[in-house]
Amino acid sequence: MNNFKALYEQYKNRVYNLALHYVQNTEDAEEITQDVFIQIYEKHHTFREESSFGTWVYRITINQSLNFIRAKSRQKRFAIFSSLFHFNEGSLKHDQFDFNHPGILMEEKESMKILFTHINDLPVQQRTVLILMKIENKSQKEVSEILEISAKAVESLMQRAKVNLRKKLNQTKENEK
Amino acid sequence: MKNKVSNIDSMEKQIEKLKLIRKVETPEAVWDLLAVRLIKAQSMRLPVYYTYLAAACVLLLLSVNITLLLKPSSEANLLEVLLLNPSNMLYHD
Repeated sequence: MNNFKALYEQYKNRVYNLALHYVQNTEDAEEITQDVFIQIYEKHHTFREESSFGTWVYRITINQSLNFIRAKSRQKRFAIFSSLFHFNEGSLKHDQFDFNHPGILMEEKESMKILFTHINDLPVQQRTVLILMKIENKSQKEVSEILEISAKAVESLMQRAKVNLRKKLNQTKENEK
Repeated sequence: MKNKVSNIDSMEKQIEKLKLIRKVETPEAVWDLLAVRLIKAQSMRLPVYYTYLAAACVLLLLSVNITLLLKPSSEANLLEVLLLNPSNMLYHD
């Protein structure tokens, strides 16, 4: 347990911050962090030393975050579905985007909330590349190692992410007009 | 055209803003809850190991039983005679 605590101390902030970028909510990020370390504890024997341990931890965090988001959206869909039959308005409130990212300054909060709404709409791989490169400041090579894809594929995903984001931001602007 | 360029500019600026997001410390409560979950996971493992052990014992007993049942009766009888009275071996020419 002591060894595991040391490992936790070494990687906790990396895991927590990456999870935060995916869910933009402290409670959810805390839950994902726990899930990630449970996975590490249970599956450490499956770690092949083909990549660094840090890369492996990143991979688990990304997968756990995406699984968490999928599970939550299933819950939301079910809540909406059941509210249609039970006329329960309370459950619809759960569908609201609960934006609570402590790493974002208060004055930037509103614009960042809009930006993250669009980032969350991006296809999974584009979203991951954008988060890793633009928020986590990872290089193209590092991202390609984490996602186990070529550097060219990373570049292309980044380009597509930018194009899609531009479209979405333009749509928002037009709607505001 | 100008509008398009300014749109690209604003989008790039927005993306650059992402770099301003600060790293935050993981709350202490996460470890406390994680430690509880780890202890639970460990305690859940023990009954599983015991079940495997019990299943292995049952399989072993069954296989011994089956081997004895399949043994030809004459051979089994001879073994029994020899085991019960080893002196019989003396008269065996």
